[in-house]
Amino acid sequence: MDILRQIRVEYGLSELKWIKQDETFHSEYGTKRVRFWKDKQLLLWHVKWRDEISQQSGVLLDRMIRTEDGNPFFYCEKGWVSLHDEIEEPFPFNRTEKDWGRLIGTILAVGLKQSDDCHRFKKTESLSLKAVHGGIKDEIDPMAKLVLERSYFEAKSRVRKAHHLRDRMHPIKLPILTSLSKLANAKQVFFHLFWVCGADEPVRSYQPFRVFLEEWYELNGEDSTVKLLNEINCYFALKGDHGKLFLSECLLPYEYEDVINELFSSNKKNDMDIVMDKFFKRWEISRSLVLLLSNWLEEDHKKAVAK
Amino acid sequence: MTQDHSSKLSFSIEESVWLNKGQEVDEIVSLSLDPEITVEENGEYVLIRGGLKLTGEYRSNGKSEVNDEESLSLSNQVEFRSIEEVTLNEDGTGEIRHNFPIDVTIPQERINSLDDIYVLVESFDYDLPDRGCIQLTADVAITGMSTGYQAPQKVVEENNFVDERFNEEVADESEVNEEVDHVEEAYEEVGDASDGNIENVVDDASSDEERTFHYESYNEEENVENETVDQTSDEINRNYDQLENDSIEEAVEEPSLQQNEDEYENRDDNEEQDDQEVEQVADEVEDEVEEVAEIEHEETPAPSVSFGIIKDRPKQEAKQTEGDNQEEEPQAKEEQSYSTLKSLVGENVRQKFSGVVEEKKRSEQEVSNADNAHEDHSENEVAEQVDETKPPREENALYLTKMLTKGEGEEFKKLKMCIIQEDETLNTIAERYEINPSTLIRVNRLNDSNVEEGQILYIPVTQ
Repeated sequence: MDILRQIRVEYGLSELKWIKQDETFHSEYGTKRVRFWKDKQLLLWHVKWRDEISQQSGVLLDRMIRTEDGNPFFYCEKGWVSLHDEIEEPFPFNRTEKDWGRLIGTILAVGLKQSDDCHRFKKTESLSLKAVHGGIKDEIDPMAKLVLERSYFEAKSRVRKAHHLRDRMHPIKLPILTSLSKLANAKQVFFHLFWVCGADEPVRSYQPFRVFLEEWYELNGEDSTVKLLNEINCYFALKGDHGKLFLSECLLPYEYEDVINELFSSNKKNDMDIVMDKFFKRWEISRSLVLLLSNWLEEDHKKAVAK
Repeated sequence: MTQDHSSKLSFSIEESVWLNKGQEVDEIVSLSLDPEITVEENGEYVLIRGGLKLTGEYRSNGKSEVNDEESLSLSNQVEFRSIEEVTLNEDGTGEIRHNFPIDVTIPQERINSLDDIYVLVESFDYDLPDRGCIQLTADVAITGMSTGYQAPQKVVEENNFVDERFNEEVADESEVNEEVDHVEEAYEEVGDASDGNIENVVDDASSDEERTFHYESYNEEENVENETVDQTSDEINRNYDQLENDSIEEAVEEPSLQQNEDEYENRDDNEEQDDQEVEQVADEVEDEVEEVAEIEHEETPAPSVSFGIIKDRPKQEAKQTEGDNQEEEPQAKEEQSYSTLKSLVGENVRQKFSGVVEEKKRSEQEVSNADNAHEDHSENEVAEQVDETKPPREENALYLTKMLTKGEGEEFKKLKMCIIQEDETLNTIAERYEINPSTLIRVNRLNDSNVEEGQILYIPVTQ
C-alpha cells in the first residue's frame, strides 16, 4: 500500500501530497514529516523521551502525532512510521536564554534520570589520538603538517587534563543525550520554542551538549553563553561535579580527529585551506569555551573567597 | 621488532628518556624523530649510517606536580594553548635532544639503486609515565632492498654495540676501559629488562620468507644522563673531557644518580654478584672484539644494523631556553611552504626555521663523528638480537645475561646468529661452528634437536 494512503487511514487525514517523497507532505492540518524507523526500541525511547521532555519543560517538541487509535506510530512495509509537525520558521537566539536554558536543563536532567534505565546506549567511543595522529600523511602542505604535528602534543595534553580532571572526581553517572547539534533545529510556533529532536541514537555522554554549547558560543558569544549556563543551572545542577565532568568532555580534542579525517580520508584534499581554517576555528572555540566554563564553575567559589 | 619483508627492514624501538630533577615535563610541546643518514658505497657493501634524531620541546616549571595541580585554579588546570601558540615557538621551553645511532651494512646485491634507499620513521609516539620520564615508541623502516638475491649462507652476527657517547663525542683509545663499563652495565640492565643495544649482521633472506627480529630497549631501571647543556661543540667537548676523567667505578655508579637513586641502591646482593661477573666477561669482550670485527668482513655479505644504546645517552639533552629563541627547528622541509600558512602562524616561524641550516650542518658533523667513533671503538661494542620466535624481551634479556655471565664456565665473547637454511640440521650447524649440539639446544632453549628452515639460532662463541 502506498504510504500516503496508509497515513490517510491511520491518521484520518485527507488531501495529502508529497513535498519531498518519503520525507514531507502537505495535509489539511499543515506540513507533516514522516520518519521511518528500523529499530523499534529506539523509536520507543524517542516517544517516551519527547513526551517526558515536553511535559517537564513545557517546550514544544516534534512529538509523534498519535494515530486515530492513539498510537504514536504504525507499521508499514518499510518499517515503523511516525508522523510529526513540520515547522519552518526559525526560533531566535537573542534574549531567549531562558527558554533554551529550560529546554537544555530539562534534557540534561531527564538524561541523567534515564542513565540507570537505558543500558543499551553506550558511551561515546574514547578518542584514540595515537591512531588519529598516525593518519597524518606526507602528501599535504608541509606547513599544515607542521601545524598538525605540533597540535598533536597539545591535543594529547588536553586529553591528559581531561582524564586528570575526571579521575579526581567521585564516579558519577553520565546523562543519556540525543543529538543537540543543530541550533537550526529550533523552530518557532507562536513565539514559542519548538525543538526538532530528530531520530539519532542517543549516547551516554556529554558530547551532544558540548557540540550544542560550542555552536551557541560561536553564534551568540560569551555573555549569552554565561546567561544560558545560569539558566540551565536552574533545571540541572551544572555547577558542581557534573559541570566538571562536562568540562572534561569539552577538553577532548575531537576537532583534531576531525581535521585529519577530513584531510586524509575524504576527497576534500583540494579544500585544505578551508579544512585547516575550520580546525583553527573549532580549536579556538573549544579553548575559549573551556576557559569560560571553568571560570563559570569557579565563580561562586571566587565570590566566597572574596567575601 | 625488526622485520625483513621483501623490500624493507623494519624496527620498533622503545626508549625511556629520563629528565633531570627540576626539569620534569609539565607538557610536551613538540617532539619529532627524524632520520639523518648518509648512504655510502663501500666495495661490495652499502653503508647506511647516521642516526634518528629526536628533537622536541617541553614545558617545565620545575616544581612538583601534585601540589601545583591542586593549588591551581580550575581555569589554570584546564587551559590549553591556541593553534598559533602551539605552532610558534615560545620562550621558556625545555629542549630535548637525543640521537639513536644507525649503522646498517647491506650487500650490494640487495640494492638496486642507492636512490631507492630511505630510512623512514613509519610511526612515532610518546607517553609520560611520570613527569621525569618520556617514553618513546617508534617504527622505523629501511626501504629500497631488492628481493631476488639468495645468499650463499645466512649468518647473523652480533658484535657491535654502538654507544652514542662514542659515536658522537669520543674518539680516543684511552676510553676503551670506560666503554667496557658501559658493556658491564648493559649486561646488568639486560637482567633488569631495561635497556639494550643492537647491531645485527643480517644476511639476505629469500624474498617470500618473513623473518622478524625484535629489539626494544628500556631505561627505566637506570637513570640516563640528561645533561642540561647546549648543543654546541663546546658542550660536546666538555662532555668529552668529563668522560675522560671519569673512572670505571664512577661510570658504573652513574645509574644511581637522580630520581632512581634509591631503586638502584636497593638492588639485592645477587645482582651485585652478577655485576662482578659481568665485569669479568666484559674485560674479555674487550680483548676479543677486534677478532669479531674481522670475522664480520670475512664471513658474509649481509645487511647489518646497529641501533640504539647500551646505557648512556649523552646525546639526550634538556635545555631550558629562557627568553631566547635559539632552538632549532627539526622540520627543515617546512621552510619551503612556510609562506603558504604564514598568515596562520605568524612571523616567528621564520625565526625558527632560520636555525634549520645550522642544525643540518651540525647533524652532518655529528654523523661524521659517529662514523669515526664507530670505527675507533667498534671493538668495544656488544650486541643483542632477539627473534620473534623467542620468548618476550625480558625473558630473552635475562637469558642473555645468564648466558654471558654464568654460562656454566663457558665465557662467551660474542654471539653469532645463524638462520637455518633448507636441508640444514642442528648437527650441521654445530659442526660448522665447532660447537656441541647440546650447547646449541641449551643456549637456544630448544625442546629437541629439530630445527626448521628460517629459524634463527644463537651461536655462542667460546674462548
